[in-house]
Amino acid sequence: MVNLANPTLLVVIPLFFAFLSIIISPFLKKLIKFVPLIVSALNLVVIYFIGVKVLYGSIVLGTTAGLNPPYVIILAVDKLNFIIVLMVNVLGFLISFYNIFYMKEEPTDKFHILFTLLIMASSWISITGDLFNVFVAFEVLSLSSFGLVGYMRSKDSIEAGFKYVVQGILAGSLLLIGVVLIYAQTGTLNMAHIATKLDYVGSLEKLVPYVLIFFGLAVEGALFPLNSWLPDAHPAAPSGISAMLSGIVTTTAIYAIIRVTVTVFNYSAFIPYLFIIALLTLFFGEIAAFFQKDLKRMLAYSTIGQTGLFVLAFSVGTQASISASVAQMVNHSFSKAVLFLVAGIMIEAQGSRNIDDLKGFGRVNILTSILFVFAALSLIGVPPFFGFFTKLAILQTLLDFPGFLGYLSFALVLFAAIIEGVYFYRVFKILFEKSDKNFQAENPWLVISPFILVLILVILSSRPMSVLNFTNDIANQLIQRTIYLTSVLGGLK
Amino acid sequence: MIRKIVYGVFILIIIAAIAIFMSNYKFGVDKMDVGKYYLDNTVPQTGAANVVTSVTLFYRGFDTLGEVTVLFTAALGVAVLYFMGENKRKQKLQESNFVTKIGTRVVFPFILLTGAYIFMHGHLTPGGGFQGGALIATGFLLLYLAYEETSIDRKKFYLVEGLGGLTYVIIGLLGFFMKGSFLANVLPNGTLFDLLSGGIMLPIYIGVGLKVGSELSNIIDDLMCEVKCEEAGGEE
Repeated sequence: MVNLANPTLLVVIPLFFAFLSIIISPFLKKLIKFVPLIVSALNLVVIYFIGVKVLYGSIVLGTTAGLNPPYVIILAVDKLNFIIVLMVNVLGFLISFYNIFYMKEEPTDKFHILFTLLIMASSWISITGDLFNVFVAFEVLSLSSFGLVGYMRSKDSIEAGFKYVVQGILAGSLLLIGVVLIYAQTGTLNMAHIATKLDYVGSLEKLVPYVLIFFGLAVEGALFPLNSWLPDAHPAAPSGISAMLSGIVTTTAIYAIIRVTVTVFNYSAFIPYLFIIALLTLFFGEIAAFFQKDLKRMLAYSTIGQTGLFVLAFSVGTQASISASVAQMVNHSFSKAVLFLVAGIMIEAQGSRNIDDLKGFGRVNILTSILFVFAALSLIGVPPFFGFFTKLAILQTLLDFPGFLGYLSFALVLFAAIIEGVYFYRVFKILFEKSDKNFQAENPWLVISPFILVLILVILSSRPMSVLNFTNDIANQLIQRTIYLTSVLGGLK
Repeated sequence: MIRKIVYGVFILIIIAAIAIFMSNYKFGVDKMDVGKYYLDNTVPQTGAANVVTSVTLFYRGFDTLGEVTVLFTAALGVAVLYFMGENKRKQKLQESNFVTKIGTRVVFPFILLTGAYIFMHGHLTPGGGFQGGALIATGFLLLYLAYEETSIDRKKFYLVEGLGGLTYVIIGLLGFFMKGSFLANVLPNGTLFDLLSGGIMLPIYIGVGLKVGSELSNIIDDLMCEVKCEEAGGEE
């Protein structure tokens, strides 16, 4: 009997369909648009089988080449991996459903194959247990998102795509150099094996590769000095892609940072700096979002701010802080995906991205606007939405950070939440203002995906404590590194 | 000016960090844990004479599958960004000279043959699917340079590209269904140094070689978009 609870399938199924669809695309071009949908649905089935085991506390492994690690590549799924890969595929499923009705620009077949590859690469990063594998998956992720950002081939999307390519490739090489230096130190690439060997390595020899890997991942993760590509790339991309980039790509990059920091390096001397970087990211992201007139650009800056928020929480370094950080990640991914998808509908209805042009939109298309409001309220953290509980958890952990910085960050997070509230309130006000402008009615097919996402948010809001308990389990399993290390390395001495 | 100084200082800091790092690094200490395992076990476990190939294609075959996908994604990205639709770019090319034309005719089959030789002997000699495939693509590049009217049939090239990728995935899945582990060796190892040795590596490298060759040719075709690329590939 074939065991379906194997993480390798999460990578192999999308690849199989991607290669298959390039063959059939000249003949059956109309079918290609269903490929990402099928792929993420099949992935969700596999994730279900994995999840049954993971929730009982075991770590599900997928070896390749029929041998044992560290000699071959291994994919490992613990609770943290599980929740990230689940989010990737749920969002991938809903966004590809949205894309079926949203994408009209040719060549749509190639668009959907690239989107499949984006889902594949994000899933891959979130389940691999091998450091070089992270680099390879990262390359696929960047390349597919380069193509998708520049997809519209207008002047600003080509410019944004080019900026993204330059920074993304630079980030990839930093990551590669970091991995190479690690290999030179330890002679192995398996994360768990590296972790056991790094105990015998000096602190400086650990710091340099950590910093390189961190900055390599931080470009994709949109941390402060390295995120200048993001405010251009998100607005220029088609809305489905903006949602995917914002909800999934940044999240997987931050996940990779968390995994490398905790499991491989067991925290590093760099963490206090990480705290400051995250604080700056939060502050500048929200301030910049406040001054935007372009709806998608505002959301893009808000993504930067939110990323800063959950990295800030993570860098406190306690179990509670990791738990709060993961919960906020979940909240951000779902609500920001809704916001971008709805923004896509709004832009399609009125033809410009300017917020002021939306005057009166909410009086015509009530459902779309209400979805926008719900997601925005959850993102800001207004009770009784899920975002309130995650932000509360973050605020509680921030006081654990020693010294003055802890209090400063506490104040800054509150301040950022107020700014967030102000700029979203401005949009609400414009949406429901009286105007005699005629808008196209919303396409009902496009509303389905954001609607389901808002339903998920509502369900999360109704049971915030059980979600926070689960994220607490995640953090607990993450902090107890030895469980991960021994179960990946098995009987290795 | 100030900006340049800041950049200079920044670069100096990076160089200093790497220099300090490298000075602390102890060369000559045996860290070859995993590497030694590969050297000792390649022949009994995989039957390949080329250890490098056995590492890239067998022990770390999952990475190579990723690298194959990287190229696949890049080719798709180029196809998307250079998509011309109805308004094709018209550009008059200078006609190439007699020597190039005749030379291409003579050399082209040998280039394909060498490429095929390189990817089929990846488990025995230096080289492999990527190198052989790149060589094949240079043959097509030469065709484009010599004859203006060259146009490859995109449907067939997509077919070869997809089949090459599928070969890799399906062989991997065979391992998954028969031995419970993706890319497990399901074929006999054969006699060392024979062409038919090395288990799953030979078919995988043939697939990779054909895939890389057709993929790079597709990229060349996209970049030379005044040739009728959309007529063959872009329509339904």
